[in-house]
Parts: sequence; C-alpha cells; structure tokens
Amino acid sequence: MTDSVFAVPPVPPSSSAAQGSGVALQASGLSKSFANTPVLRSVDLTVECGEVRALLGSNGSGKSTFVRLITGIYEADEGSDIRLFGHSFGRSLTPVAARAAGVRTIHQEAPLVGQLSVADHFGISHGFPSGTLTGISQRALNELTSQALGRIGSGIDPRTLARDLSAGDRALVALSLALADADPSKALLVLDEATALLPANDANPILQKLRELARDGLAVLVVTHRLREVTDYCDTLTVLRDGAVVLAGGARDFSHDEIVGGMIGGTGSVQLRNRQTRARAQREQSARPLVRVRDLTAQGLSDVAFDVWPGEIVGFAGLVGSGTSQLARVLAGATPHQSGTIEIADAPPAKKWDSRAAINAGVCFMPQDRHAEGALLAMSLRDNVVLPCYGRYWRERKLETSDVEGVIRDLEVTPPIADKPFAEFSGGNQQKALLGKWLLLRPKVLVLDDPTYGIDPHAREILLKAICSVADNGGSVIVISTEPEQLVRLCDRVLVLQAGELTDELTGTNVNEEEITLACSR
Amino acid sequence: MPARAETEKGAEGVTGNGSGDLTPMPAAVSLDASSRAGRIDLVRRYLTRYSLLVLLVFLIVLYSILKPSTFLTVTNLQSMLLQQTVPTVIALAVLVPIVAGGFDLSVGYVLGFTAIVGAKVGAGAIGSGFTAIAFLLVAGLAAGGLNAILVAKLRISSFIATLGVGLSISGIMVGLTGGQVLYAGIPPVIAQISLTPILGIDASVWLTLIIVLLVYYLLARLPLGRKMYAVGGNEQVARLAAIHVTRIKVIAFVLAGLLSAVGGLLTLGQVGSADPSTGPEFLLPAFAAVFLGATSIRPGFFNVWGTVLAIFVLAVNFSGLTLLGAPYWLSPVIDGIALIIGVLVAGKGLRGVLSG
Repeated sequence: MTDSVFAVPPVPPSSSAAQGSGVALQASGLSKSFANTPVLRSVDLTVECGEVRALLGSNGSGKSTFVRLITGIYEADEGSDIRLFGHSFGRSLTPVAARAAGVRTIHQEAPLVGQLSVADHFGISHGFPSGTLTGISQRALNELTSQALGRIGSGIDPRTLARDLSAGDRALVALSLALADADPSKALLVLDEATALLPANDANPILQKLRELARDGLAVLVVTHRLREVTDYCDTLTVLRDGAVVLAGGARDFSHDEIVGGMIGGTGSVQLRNRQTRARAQREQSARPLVRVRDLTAQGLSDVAFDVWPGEIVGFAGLVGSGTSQLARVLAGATPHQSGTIEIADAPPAKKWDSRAAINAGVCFMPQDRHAEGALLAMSLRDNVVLPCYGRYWRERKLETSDVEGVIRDLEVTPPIADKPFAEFSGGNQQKALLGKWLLLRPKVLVLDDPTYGIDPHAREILLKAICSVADNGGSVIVISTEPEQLVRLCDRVLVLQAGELTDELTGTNVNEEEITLACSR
Repeated sequence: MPARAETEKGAEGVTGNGSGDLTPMPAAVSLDASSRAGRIDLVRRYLTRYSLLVLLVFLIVLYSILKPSTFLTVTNLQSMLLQQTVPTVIALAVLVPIVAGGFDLSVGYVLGFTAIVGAKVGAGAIGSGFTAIAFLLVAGLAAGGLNAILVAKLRISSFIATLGVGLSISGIMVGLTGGQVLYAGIPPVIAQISLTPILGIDASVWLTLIIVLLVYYLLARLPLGRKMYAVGGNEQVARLAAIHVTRIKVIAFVLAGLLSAVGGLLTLGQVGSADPSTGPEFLLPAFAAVFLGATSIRPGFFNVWGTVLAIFVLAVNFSGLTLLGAPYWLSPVIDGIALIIGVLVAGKGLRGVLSG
C-alpha cells in the first residue's frame, strides 16, 4: 500500500452567505480520513426544505461516512462545516445536537424489537405517558402512537407486535417514530438505504409518503441504489465516487447510464481470467453441465432454473433482498427448498438436500456472514481449516499439519501460525483460511456469497486468484456479490435475480458494470 | 497436547500483536517490539495455563506446613481421593454436554435415581449383583437418552429439558423408595467394585482414573470430541461443515447419563445404601469445577484436566480448612468465591466460554 497521496484539502471559506431558513442542510468542504486514508474529500451538499435529494454511490464511495458525519456519529476533519437550518456546527456535531437541530435518520433495517408493540416503541423513543401512581397509561400511549402514525397516513394498530409487521409496515413505523416529535418544516430526514431491503412494491408507498411530507417543507436525503427511486421520487441527486462528488443536479437531468457511469467511473477493470481459460470453458460446454438446477422454489425464490458448466464461473447479481443470498444457501443445502431439483453431475443420490448431502456431492459453501456461520472464532485456525475433515486426520496429525501449512502458504495467511485463535486474525486472513478449508476438500462446485465483502484489496486478489484456480481445474464456481465490479472481474456469465426470479442473463461483453447495475435496477 | 502447546507457545513469540496485517511494519521495528511483548505474553499465558496446578501444589504445601501431623497423612490423602471420586465423575458428566454446547442439570438426580435402581434390582429376586449393575447403567443411559431426544431432536433448550427431566426423576425416586433409604439386599459386588483396595488405593479411585483418561481421550484425541467442541463453538458453522450436529448432541447427553450412572454406582458402593434425597448436592460443585477448570490447562475451553484439577483444589482446600477447625459451612463459601475470582482473573483476555 502506498502512503496517502491525497492530502486533506485546504480549508474552504465556510462563511458562505446562503443561510436562509430555506436550507436544511448545508455541508461544505466535508472531509473525513481514517488512519490517513481519505474516505470523503471536500464534499459539498445542500438539501433545502421541501427538497428530496438522492445520494448515490457504489460501496466504498463514502456515502455512509457522509451520513455518519451529518448525523454526528463521526467527527469531520479540520476545515469541514456542517450547517443545519442556518446554524453552523463547524466540524463537530454530536448525535444529540444533530437530533436537536432536526436531523432524523432511518437506518437500513428498522431496528424494532420483535416482542414489543408499536406503541412500546413509541414510548421508548418519545417517553411513556404516565401518572405518578397509575404508572404508564396504555390508552394514552396508544392514542399518541395512533396520532404519530396518522400523521404519515398510516392506520397500523399501535398494539401490533413488531414481529407481526410486514417489512413495509416496519419501515412506516420507523418513519413515524422518527418524525413523531419533529416539525416537518424544521426537520431533515435521512434514509440510509432504508428502502434497500424492501421489494419495490413496499418501498414505493413510503417514498410517495416522503414526497407528500416534502410538500409540507420536510427536507429529505435518500441514500439508495435504486435508480428508479431517484427518477420517480427525488428532486435532485448527488453521486459520490471515491469520496468526492462526481455528479450533482436535478434528478431527471441525467440518464440512468450517466448516473451509473458516474458511480463506477471510467476506469476499466483488469480481467482476472485469461482468454485461454474462457476458451476452455467454452469448449467444455459440449459436455454436460456440472450443476443443473430446475424449477427451484424456496422462501424468496421462485422457479429458478440454470446450468453451470465445468470450468465456468457464474455470478448472480441482484439488489439486497433479490434472493441471491438465499439462492446460494439453498444450493449449498444450508436452507431447505420447497420444490425443484438441484443435480450435481456424478453426485451420490441424497435423500435430503442438506449441508451434508451438498458437501458429499462436492458443493462447498462460503456464507456471507463469516462470524455467524463461517468460523469457530474461539478455536484455532487449524481447527477451523480442518473442520470438515476431523475424521480424516484422526491418526494423521502430520498430514493435518502439512495440509494446514499448505493452506497458510498457498493463500498467504498472515501471521502463518496454525494454532493461533481464529478471532485474532484479520478479516482478510480469516476469509483466506475459510476458503482454504473448502479447497482442502477439492470442491467440484464452490458457492460463494460475497467472498470479498469488507476485505482489504491485497487479500481480495489472493482470494480471487484461488477462486479462479478452482474453475481452471474443471470445477464450477457460483459467486454472489452486491459489487458488480467483483462479478465483472471473476465471472464468465452473470445471471440477474429480481424479487426471487431470474430476470436476465449477461454474457460476453455484456458482463460489465453498467449492464449489471442496470439489469439489477431495471 | 504437548506438541500443540509447544507450537502455540512458539507462536506467541513471533507475533506479538495479532492484528493489523494490512499495514506491515518495518521488520526491524516489529521484531524488537514484539519479541519483548511476546515474551511477557508467553509468561502470562504459561501462568494462566498452569494456574490451577500451581494453586493445588501451593495449597498442599500450605496445609502440610500448617497441619503436618494430620493433613499430609496416608489416611487423609486416601480419604480425600475416595471422597472426590463421585464429584469427579459427575463433573465429567456435566463437562461432556457443556463441550457440545448444552447444559445437563439432571446429572445429580440421575445419580440418585440409578443408585436406587441398582439397590432395588439387587434386593429383588431378579438375580446377581451384575444384573443390578446392568440395570443401573441402563437406567442412566435411558435418562441420558431422554435428555438427548428432548434437546437434540425436539430442540428444547437443554437448560429447560434437563431441568424438567431432573425434576421428574426426583419425584420418581421418592415413588420408588416410598421416601425411605434402601439398605437391605444391596449386592456385595457393588461395594467390592467401589472399595476393594488395589495397591493400597480403593477401586473407586482406579475406576475414576480410568474414566477420566477415557473422557480425556474422547474430548482431546478423538474426532468425536473435536466435533463436540465445534458444535459447542458454533452449531451452524459445524452443520455447514457436514458435521452431524444432532448425532453429536445425542452422544453427549447419553454419555452424561452413563457417567451419572457410574456416579450412582460408586455412591451405592461407597455408602452402602440408596437415599432418595441423594444427588442434587453434586450438581453445583460439578458445574463450579467445570467452569473453574476452563481457566486452566486449555484456557478458554472446557477441558478434562482443568476440571479434575479444579475438583482437587477445592477438595484440598476443604480438607485443610476442616483440619484447621474452620466451620464446615465455610468451605462452600470459599469454593464459590474461588470460582468467581478464578474466572474473573483468568477469564480476562480469554475468549470463548468464560466471558459473558
């Protein structure tokens, strides 16, 4: 890694005149670095009262950091200025001050407690109406909650338990909770990818509601991936790339292609797989497929059918909630499917398609959540790497040691210490070891759910190379990723899922970031 | 185990800090800093690993000096060993399911229940002492099997399932005996198995030693034991690695039932009677020993030798204090405090089971 090339930008004069009551948020020269790596570079962004502005950018573009700065979670670097409703906070804003100034945030997964009712949540956020002797007045609480819900035009019963709410209703409740104590003309609502997990049908009424609230003067900043949401519901947009504003203007002044181009930039990525490999994959298409999936239906998936050939790397693209992760889990037997078939060539017949059957058939799976599903954190790297083969190594401690050392060497795991507790390795090295665990089994089919998520670039290259080598040796690889860039680099072919259905197939030169992003947001 | 400990120790010297491979430091700087930090870390780890052993030796020396005429006598040591056989076996019965991620709260009741079954069958007309032992062990297996079905197949929380089974068994025990202590007709072979001296040490002690070695072999050496640790570490991770989670849990609970039955057998032999109120008093000390044991030998993991050491630390302390004339109620107070302090001190920096 090189040292930071980008110095913190010079201080812009932040005493700009525009501070009329009409401006809800004025961020000027907003910068933020972590350990000398700038993630946000002198970003200017304004949201006026009554304006709905979209904030777009691919992963790592700095949009989450931006949201954290204007909500007071992070402190901005020297020279930044955050002005809320005419009041300048300079670079130091606290969550309490941001809230007091009228900033309200809704995060991706509305964090509601399942066993508590909507009214309970209202009470927790805004206080329980109670008398000295009588305690909490449930009736008054329900009344207040109904009023808050009514303000955004929702008729949800305050007594409903959060776990019984639909995803759309949860978002509505979060919205009403956020706005319950705010004067719409004096508030800035920040939706931090709050609609990303919702199907479009559920997201649209909420965005519609936001439009109506904006008419009353509410300022809204929507962080989203969905281009349609931008053109249909937003007035203005700002696109971030590498921590800087690359596009800003009216939401309908740009075509989808222009927006996507702004998000991913013009830099062409290097193809990881060489022509030869591709050619071979093509040749081997004459043989029968290694993976044959037909009419696969499971929770969140309907009638998915596809083939994967030996030597092929197939990507599955889709927005969060489109079913890509679920598909990976079903293929790997981690989640049961309701109907349909998964056939692996030359696999022994299995009564039930579960993890054991999948592994017996040569299907190995790296789940997205390393910590919850991938690793035994307290146990050693060695215990984790040989986890599926404890029996094999029982009387072969030397073989075990040499195999584990092989994984450490081939995947450049650092520090190269087999008996160190797994939790003490960095994320990238944990992921290398977990891939190594499966490579020891010589998988026929490798199913990877976001294998490079949150992993440093160096480790990522090593992982990607190792993944390619599986395909080069005649295996099939199925990759799920929310980052089109990764799919472009790895995949011979990309299938697109939307709302649990296969909607598109990209091959050849169509496997590029623009096409993938477009196909997912269509 | 030794080979493994060796690598681990060596490892600490090299690394120093376990994170931050993203920005590699200049080699010269990191070597100097980490070897020193590494050495301190090494000493700390070494002390942690053998803390219970050090404590045990310290207590033995202490009480030997304070009470040379009574503590360090063959009789006292023999009786101390014999007294700890049942607590040791019951602690192992607690240990095995805990390694696999489950609690068995029924071990004490199963001990009492199997002793009663042994006494009843022995006193009945069915046959020899060996029949009684067979029935006794089968009773333990059955109780363990019931726990296993409830926990592994029906997926009831092990805490609740074994509590329910234990409670029911406590009632059945009273039903079987009419609330009376059973003295009559206990086959002599049961007492012989427990109390025949071999090389000057009671057979119970030898039997317990064999069981300790077997359970150690299972947990530390066999793939089955390793899988138990994996299931206890993260069930879902184990399942995704094709480990038969249900089967592992079933084995763990059945084994706990069997070990409890051995505890029942030893109790019956040593005491010579079956008391329907016997059993529950073994539960808490067993859990205490298992948790305290996880601070030592293989720190952060429930393990056999740590558990055995913990039992003897507590036992030596009890014996010493008694000889010093301390009131009998002081011992559990000190045991409880020792458990909390032990986990507090050793648990710091340990990952896994001990921190909340």
